[in-house]
Amino acid sequence: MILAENLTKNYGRKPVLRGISLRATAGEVTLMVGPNGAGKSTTVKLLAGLIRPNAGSARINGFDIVDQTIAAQRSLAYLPQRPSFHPRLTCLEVLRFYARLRGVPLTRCDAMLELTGLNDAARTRTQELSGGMRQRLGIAFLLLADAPVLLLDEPGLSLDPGWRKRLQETLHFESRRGKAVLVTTHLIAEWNNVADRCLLCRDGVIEQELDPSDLLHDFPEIETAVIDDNEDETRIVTAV
Amino acid sequence: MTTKMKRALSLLFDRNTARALFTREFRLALINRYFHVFSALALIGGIAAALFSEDANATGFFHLQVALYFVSLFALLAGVGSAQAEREEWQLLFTQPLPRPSYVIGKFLALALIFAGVLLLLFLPPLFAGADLSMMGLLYLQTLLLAATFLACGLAAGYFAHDRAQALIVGVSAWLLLLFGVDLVALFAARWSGIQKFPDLWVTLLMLNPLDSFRIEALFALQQIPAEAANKTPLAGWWTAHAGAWFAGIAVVWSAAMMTLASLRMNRWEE
Repeated sequence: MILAENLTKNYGRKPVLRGISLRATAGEVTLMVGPNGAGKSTTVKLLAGLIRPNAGSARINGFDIVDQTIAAQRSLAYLPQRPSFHPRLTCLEVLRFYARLRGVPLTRCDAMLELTGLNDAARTRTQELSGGMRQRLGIAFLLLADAPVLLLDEPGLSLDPGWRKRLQETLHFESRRGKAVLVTTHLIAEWNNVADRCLLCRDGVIEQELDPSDLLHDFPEIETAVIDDNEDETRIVTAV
Repeated sequence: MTTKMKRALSLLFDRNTARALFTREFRLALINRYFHVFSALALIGGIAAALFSEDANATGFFHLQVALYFVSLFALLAGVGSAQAEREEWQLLFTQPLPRPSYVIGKFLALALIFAGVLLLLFLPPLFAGADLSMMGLLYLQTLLLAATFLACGLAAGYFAHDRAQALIVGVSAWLLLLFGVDLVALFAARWSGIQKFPDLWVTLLMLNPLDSFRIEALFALQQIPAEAANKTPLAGWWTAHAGAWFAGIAVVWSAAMMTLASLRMNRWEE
């Protein structure tokens, strides 16, 4: 379970998070939506222990991400927007490294490669992978440790529609296995089918919590829309 | 030792973590062109020293030059390259349940172990040609310490710099400064009457430089300089009497300082 209270983060003098509070419970997929610059990625990086908050606190599975970073990180897996791996290592070597690091049996690496359709690329260096394949390797990396908390930052941007759907199904399945899944996206329409809860983030705060099914019912125009910085999307966010 | 450092060290020597870090570094070294070139040149150098040196002292003197100019530079480049190659991966690495200092120190230890192996290519051939085992063994250990020092410098430069070019500029500049710069400063400083009154200042400058410290220790060990020649001040006398221990100490201090700086830098790193 993820619990964040009044998280604030400044980059220099610029405030990026202005007191984010959120709760993502086990067994649910929680969606965090909002336009670019809303603070979604910063929130997820903070929850993953990559950056430290200026104020506020966050707990992953009960462990404070600042004071008990290692224990908290043992409970989570994080997939960044554009996962990068050591360019000279093969897919299998990358997964084996992380498996060893987390004490996961090496046989699980093969299972993850099979799950993400990368069996044939197991011995391909990551620098030779396409964007979509790299993203699939990222998914394999995410699921490798079977962590109870999954954090995904704009996943699936490089994936084709078929793999995006499979990713959504996989995350839905993992949440039903008792994991807490937090996904940031600005593609509401694509993700609302798998989401149990939807948090609208803007200007560094959680503006409101939405019911994913009501969202499309009340605002059908969102179905084809992407929340972003252009005029239409600003209108949608304002409407919500 | 702080609680955090103790935890970092206990995690570093956790079996899974150590195996993960060492396996990764060994695999990367096997496909790293720096290490290919370094290994090939070390072997060629070792064989050339064995075939063409006139006596054991000449072999040792040759190895001293190789260590000073070749091993130190390669160790520095290996450190820079290793730190920078995975820069893009930090966002994944640092979400793993492993303290960042453990990762930095683990990488350093793994690379130092790889250097220990590759340096055998340089030091073993002369033994087959009859070079003195104790002399070559001592020089091997000193060269390994020198390599570890510059490996740590390279890693620190790699972790501090924003990109590979900047890291190389900083690293190579530091190497040139230690190789020639400190000596030049000492040379110019020695011309000032104020400094001449305190020759130990000049000696201290050389003592703190790992390359000068190595050079002095190796030259005395190889009996290229009679010990009494440098026995002009109490400090110089002490240094020449304890040159081996001093070099080992200064190499460890430099390596530890560089690794501490690198660890602090990575602890503060935010994407």
